[in-house]
Amino acid sequence: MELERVLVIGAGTMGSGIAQWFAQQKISTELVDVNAEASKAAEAKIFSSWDKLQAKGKFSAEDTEEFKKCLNVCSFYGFNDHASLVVEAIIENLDIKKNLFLDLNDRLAPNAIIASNTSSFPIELLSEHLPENRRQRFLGLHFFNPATIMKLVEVIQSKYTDESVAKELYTWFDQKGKKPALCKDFPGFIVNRVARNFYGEALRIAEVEDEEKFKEIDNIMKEVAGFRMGPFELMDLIGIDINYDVTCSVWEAFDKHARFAPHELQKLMVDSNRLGRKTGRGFYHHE
Amino acid sequence: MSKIACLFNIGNEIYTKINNSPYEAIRYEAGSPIELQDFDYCIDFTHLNYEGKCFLAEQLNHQTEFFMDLTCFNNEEFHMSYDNLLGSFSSLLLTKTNKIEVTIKDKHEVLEGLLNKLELSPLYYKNFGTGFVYPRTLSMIVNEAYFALDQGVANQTDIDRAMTFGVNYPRGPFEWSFGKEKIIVQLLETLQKHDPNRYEIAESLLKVARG
Repeated sequence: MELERVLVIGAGTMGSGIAQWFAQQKISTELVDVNAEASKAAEAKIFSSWDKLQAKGKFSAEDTEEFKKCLNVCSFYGFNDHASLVVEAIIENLDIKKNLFLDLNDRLAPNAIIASNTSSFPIELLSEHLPENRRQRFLGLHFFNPATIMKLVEVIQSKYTDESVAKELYTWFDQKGKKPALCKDFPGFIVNRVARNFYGEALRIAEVEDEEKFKEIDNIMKEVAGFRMGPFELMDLIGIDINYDVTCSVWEAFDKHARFAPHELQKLMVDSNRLGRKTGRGFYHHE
Repeated sequence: MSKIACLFNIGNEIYTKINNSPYEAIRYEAGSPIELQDFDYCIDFTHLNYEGKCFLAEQLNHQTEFFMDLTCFNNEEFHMSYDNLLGSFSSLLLTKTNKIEVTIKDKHEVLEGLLNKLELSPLYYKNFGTGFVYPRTLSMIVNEAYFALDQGVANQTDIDRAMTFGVNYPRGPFEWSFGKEKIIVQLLETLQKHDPNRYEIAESLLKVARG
């Protein structure tokens, strides 16, 4: 598979990271956003990132120059229609996404692949309104933040996706140094589902609000199990509300199965706006 | 000098590391009587089912002071039932850190001495409940990985890959649990007594454990 041109829609944290990664593969990459200022700001941030990495010796001057040439930021309606792959990384709003995909379907070549970076919606739901030939070339590509550093990309097939398209992309990402994981279109895909009880079980062991207990549990998971961060400090870092939302989303998608049930302690934190580092207080006090 | 009996099952890798004074490594068969009156302490590393562990604990309690691996059980229950149980620990799911959780009222030089000899470091944790922190958490992660496998979400390789490269787990759940499925299922079955729905066990995990 050759990807000559990639279009990334959405210049937020994920979209700009994804665009930066593709440009670093020396692929012509367009980054667009409905907010033109956001696109420009993303471009400036990416260029600055490359300059810093070049200064550190990670990239040569020639490579940096080529990356910058590969990245093109343009207006939302002015993007090139000849993209081989489109990665959608916009706001997690179902109607907005579906309308976008309809628009893309009209504009893109028949063999273009459309991918969503969604973590909230089933891929099937995002593509079911598209014509059959496009549904077959529609899948999920779930990158992890920051996309330039985290190697994993979940390659998600819906029931409509042509398996060969998914497998070709899997191989392509593998060849480019990513670690792709092929999965079917189930809630949470792989990571968000399997990781739930890294947090869930810790909450049940702690049971009540007790910073000493949180510290003990985090310490055990790092010192004994070998994790880089313990569950409570990680929830504080990510945002307890973010983690709670993902937990509730997966729980509801699995018909509220007890394995995924959110814990009242986490809800208590969210309800009292103790969200972690960003609010100065979560499971831990933060200066 | 204290004489210390160390009980092991067949196949327990720690067994090979110790068998000199003051320690005597004794291979223990589940359900069999044991004579330890000549010993001052016993440290039990065996992996047994619940009935087997209770039978052993009952015998040890009448003969000597002892420490016990209670990875798969409610250690509060054992500590309340057996006066001579000085402490419990979890060593059945060792990681490269070579550290283990220990629940003990006061640090004890006998246990520390043996762990030191085995190049294991204790992490003291005042937890009296079911299982220990790391085994419980790992068991639920592994269990969910098997549920995902059963549903056809992805294959084992991709699930392992996702968890190591997506969220920096030290190991993927299948790699981590390989050969330890029986221990994991036994712990989940103990936890099921409190909440059978939450601790429902994936079919393929049960199959591997019982196969």
